[in-house]
Formats: sequence, C-alpha cells, structure tokens
Amino acid sequence: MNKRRTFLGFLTSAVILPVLPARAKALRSETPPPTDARIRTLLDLIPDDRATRRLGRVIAELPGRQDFPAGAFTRLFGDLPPDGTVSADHLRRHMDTLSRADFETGRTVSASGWILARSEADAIALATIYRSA
Amino acid sequence: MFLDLRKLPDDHRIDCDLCIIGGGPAGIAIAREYIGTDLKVCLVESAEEYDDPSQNLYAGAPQPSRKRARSIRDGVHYGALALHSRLRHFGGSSNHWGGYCAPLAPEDLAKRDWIPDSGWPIDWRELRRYYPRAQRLCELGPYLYDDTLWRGTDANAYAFDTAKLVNRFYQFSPPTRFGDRYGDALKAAANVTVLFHANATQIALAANAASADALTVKSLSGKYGRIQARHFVLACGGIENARLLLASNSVATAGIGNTRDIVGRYFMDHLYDSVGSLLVSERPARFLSLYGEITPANAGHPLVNSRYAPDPVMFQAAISPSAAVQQRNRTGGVALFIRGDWSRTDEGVSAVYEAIESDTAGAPENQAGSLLNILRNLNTALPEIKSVVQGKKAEHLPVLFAIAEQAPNRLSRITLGSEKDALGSPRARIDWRLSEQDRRTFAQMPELLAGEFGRLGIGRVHKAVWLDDEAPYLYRGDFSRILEPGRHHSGTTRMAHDPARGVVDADCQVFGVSNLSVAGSSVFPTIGSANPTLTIVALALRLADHLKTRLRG
Repeated sequence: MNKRRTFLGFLTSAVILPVLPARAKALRSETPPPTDARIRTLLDLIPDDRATRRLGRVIAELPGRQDFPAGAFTRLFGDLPPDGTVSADHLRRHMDTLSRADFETGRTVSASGWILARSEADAIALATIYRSA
Repeated sequence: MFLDLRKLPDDHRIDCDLCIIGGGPAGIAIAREYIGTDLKVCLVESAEEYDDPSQNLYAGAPQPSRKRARSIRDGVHYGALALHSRLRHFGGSSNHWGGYCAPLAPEDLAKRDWIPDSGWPIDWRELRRYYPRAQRLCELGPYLYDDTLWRGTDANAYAFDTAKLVNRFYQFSPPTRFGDRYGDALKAAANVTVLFHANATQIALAANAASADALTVKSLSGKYGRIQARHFVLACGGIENARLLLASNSVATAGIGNTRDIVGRYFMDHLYDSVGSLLVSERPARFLSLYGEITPANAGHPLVNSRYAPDPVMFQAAISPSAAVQQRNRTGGVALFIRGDWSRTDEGVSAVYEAIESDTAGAPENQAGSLLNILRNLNTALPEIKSVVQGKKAEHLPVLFAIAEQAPNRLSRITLGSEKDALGSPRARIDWRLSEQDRRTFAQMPELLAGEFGRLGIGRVHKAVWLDDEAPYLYRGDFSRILEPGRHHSGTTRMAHDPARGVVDADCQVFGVSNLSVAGSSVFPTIGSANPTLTIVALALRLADHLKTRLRG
C-alpha cells in the first residue's frame, strides 16, 4: 500500500509538473498527501467538472499568491483535526463560515471574472491540483 | 383654451403675464398652477400630437468623429437626437416615459469634494418640500421611499451592511402622459392659452440685454407669431433649453446667459450598462423580484402594495453604494437593478434553481448560499455569461444592471451646428464626454455586490468584462458598445450661486436677465442616480410658486 502511495505520489508530480510546476512542487513538499482525511473530504465536496477545474487552475496560477498551496491549506484546515473526523457536513459548514467572513472583511479573489471569497478560491484551487495529481 | 398658430393671422401677437416655452412635464406642471388665477398664461408647444416633421426639428447636427478616440474621455457617440431620445409634442417626453420615480438623496445635492463642480445652491430640505405635490402630479402613492413601502406585502429586501450598500426605493407612475392627463384642464381654463405649432425660434432681449422682450414662434406652414410677457420660462428639455439660449444671439452675441461660456456645457446623462451577472444560490422569486423589472410574470406580486387602495402603490428597490463608500472610492451614485425573467422554468439556470431547492431542502438555512451550490452550477452558467460578455441577452442568468451618475464635465456639451432645421434654426450638436471617474463609478459595484451577496449567502458575482482594468482596449474607438445613455439630458443650464459657475440662480432665473427662468433637468448641477422626472416636476412647482409671488408683487 505504501509503495502504491509512493508510486501515486510520483505519478502526481509527473502529471502535474508540465502544467503547474511550481505549485506541484510546493504541493508535494508543503501539504499533506491526498490520502489525508481532510483532503479526501474536500475532494468529495468540490464538484469535479470542467468549469470548476478550469477555474481552479486559474486561481492556482494567480499572481500574488506566493503562499499557495501551503497557506491555502492552513487557512482552510488549520482549525480542523487531521485525524479523519472531519465529516462532509462539518467541512461544508466550516467553509461557509470562512467564506462569509472573507466577504465581510473584503478578502476576495478575482478569477475568470468571478469574485470569490479567498477561502473558497483556496478550496477550488487545492481540489484542482490534488485532482490533477 | 387651445389655439393653433397655423390658423391664426400672420404675425399674431399674444400678450400675457407668463409665457411658458415647452409643454412637457415641467411646462405643464407650471401652467396648471395658474389655472383660475388672475394671471394670464401662454404655453407654446410644437405639435399637439406626434408628427414626423415636428419631431424632425429635434434632429441633431453630426457629432464629432470618434475614430481617434482612445478612451471614454475622448467622447462617446450619443445616438440620434430625434429618435427615441425625446419627443416634441404636447406632453413632451412623458409620452414615452417608463414611469420610474424616486427623489434625489441628500448626498446627491451636496458638495462632494471628489466630484468636480458638484453641489446644488439649494438645500435638499427645500426640494423635499415639493416632492409630495410632484407625487400627486405624477399619480404616485404617498411620499414613501423607505421600507414601509412593502409593509403588508410578502416582499422583503436584503439586509445589507448599510455602511456599504443601501436599498433605494422607486415608485411607478401609471405612467402619467402629461398632455393627455392635464390637457383638458388647461383647455378649459379661461386664463391659460396653449398655442400649438408654435415652435420657439428666438427669445428677443431688450437692447441692454437685461430682460427678455418677446418670444418669436414659427409654424412649419410658415406662420409667425410673437408672444410678449412679463416673464418667460424656458421648459424645452435639457438639449433644447441650451439650444434656444445659444440661438437667441441677436443682442447677446454669445447667446442669452452665456457671457461666461457655460450654456450648453456640463451636459450629463445617466449611464446604463451591466456590471456583471449573478449566479444565485437560492430560488430567486423569494427576494430578487423586488430589485427586478416589472414584467407580466411578476406584476401584482410582490411589487404592488394594496394597502393604499384604491390606488395601490407600485414599487421597486434598487441597490446603491452608501454615501460613505462613494466618498471613499471617490465615485458617483449608482442605482442597481437585478434584471431577468424569473418566469422561465424550462431549461438552463431555471432548472438549476430547481436542483438547488431539492438539494438544499432540509439543509440548514445557512448552507443555502454556500460555495458548493454555486460551483454545482458553474457549467450551466458559463454559456449564459458568454452571452452577456458578447452583448447578447442572457435568457436565464440575472443581470446586474446599473444606472450610474455621470459627473459634471465642462467638456461635455451642446453647441450649435452649422446645419439648419426646417425653420432655419441651427441644429444642436452634442459632444458627450465621460471621465475615468465615470468608469470607476461603475467599476466599484461588482466588488461591493460580491461582498454583500457573498456575506448574505445570496450568490456569486461574475464581473462584466468591460470593467476589467485592461479591458477598454477591447472597445477602442467604439465606446458606444459599452455605455448606453439614459436619455435624461441634464446640466446644460446648471444652477449655481455664482454666475461664474452656472447659468441660473437658486430660483432658476437666468443670471443677468431679470424675467427669464429655466425649468427642467437642464438646471441640475449634478444628476444623482434617480430618474429625473419627479425632481423636474418638484422644481417646476417650486418655480411656479416663486413666480406667482413675483408676478403678483
């Protein structure tokens, strides 16, 4: 299993590198593997369709987001336990709270014309590059 | 009584106390105030009913070429002045009026340091005194422009953070066609003469240019007439008021009231365009129709408040940036409506609403507006957004439609062209100039709306392409594709304390001409974001009161 995980990790880097080289490198070194329970829940929640993937790629490549993906991961999951107890409903409510607070305080991200809360932009971009892996 | 200049002897002369030039909402509102008084009034108007030759007197001279325009500061093509823009027959432009009514807000009249040449010479409370009377003339409900409008209905408005966005309210006139509605009363009045086919061509000044002696009128059939009055009121609309003052240049060679070269300058209009689209995360009929258009689909619900029966109040809300936001962003006012046809349920986004509703049924209330609902609809929304970007009508996606205030701009102006109309008068030439500030007035809206719509869980905003900082190059040389004028011609005879800054004083009297006043939106120093008719009528009533005292004194 561990070998398979390592192999998948390697494959992840190989696939994503031509598209998002810097982000992929950072993803591998700065954030948990896709098997992390929090990531799995995130991937369950964020729709996997062409429009969302395209938006996620644009967000990931936006200038001025040097702390991505580590900063995004921390902002989204910093308050949540890493031990697999994060339910989909819990994460959904958590993201809703974060995004409303972002909108209230003006922490927004513009991508492809959409004006999104920073936290939801983080979520879309993280999901996209994890999926690309 | 009604008279027709074409049927009168040539060089017919009328003597009266008050001559009103123009029979639109302002002119008729003033004339009505004199019915049954001891003062003799003559109102001159072009046609009694619409006819092409009379309407064609409004055609403009060619506008400046925009081929080399590189920004909106270089000017924007305005559209034909004789078509759609205004009407030259009894009732004036009320004959094609949509009926939107709202008072100006106190901040609209205030001196705003960040808006050049802003500040009215009268206080908002002075204007406020006349709004209730104007309401009655426009056949509106009581003077209510706050949330009491929807008490007793099941409508509700979004609870915006009022430091950022505020709800503004509109009432709807039937709409009142002023000629049809008040013509009979004027016709029956023994002391009021309405003279039709009497096109004003020249205001004759006394030799010292300090007063007006007479008005020359002509019919298209070749008849002349002359009106002599103790006082004259020019009420021909925001373009014609300036045109007639400029064309009346036999004594004052630069035109009447134009010693400081201000007549015709500061031409303003409301700017119309979409600032983006809204992907809503809840069933729209719940709130959005309050901010939308009155269509057969939603007429009677929830935009009519029957509490005021037998004349139920038709109303609607718009979303505006707060005064504090305007000050911080150094921008003008905006009235934003959410437009769309909520009745469609067959496909596209409407189908998405159904999905959202079933998906969120039983879910906690605060999840209805979550990101996840939005993302689920992105694929469906994208073709709609593409339509909006390409200037096509979106069938399903709510459009964020803004009416923005144009800031006063000395370069934006009406002048006289070299071309003449059928009566030999020079045609009006329009050179409509905007500013970067006008673009910023629009551009502030998507972020503001996205913030509040996001915070309240209403939905997400997709910003219009033309508002991107780098977008104007897309439209180089063709800015008319971006901005549509509201055809609320204003500012060309602006009101001011000081003749160095305006054409008329706080009582709407032309500086330096003791018996000539101006009515209509041409006296507005700033235009605000509300539709102008209610304020035009309120100012006309104020002028009528003022002149009544003066003429009797």
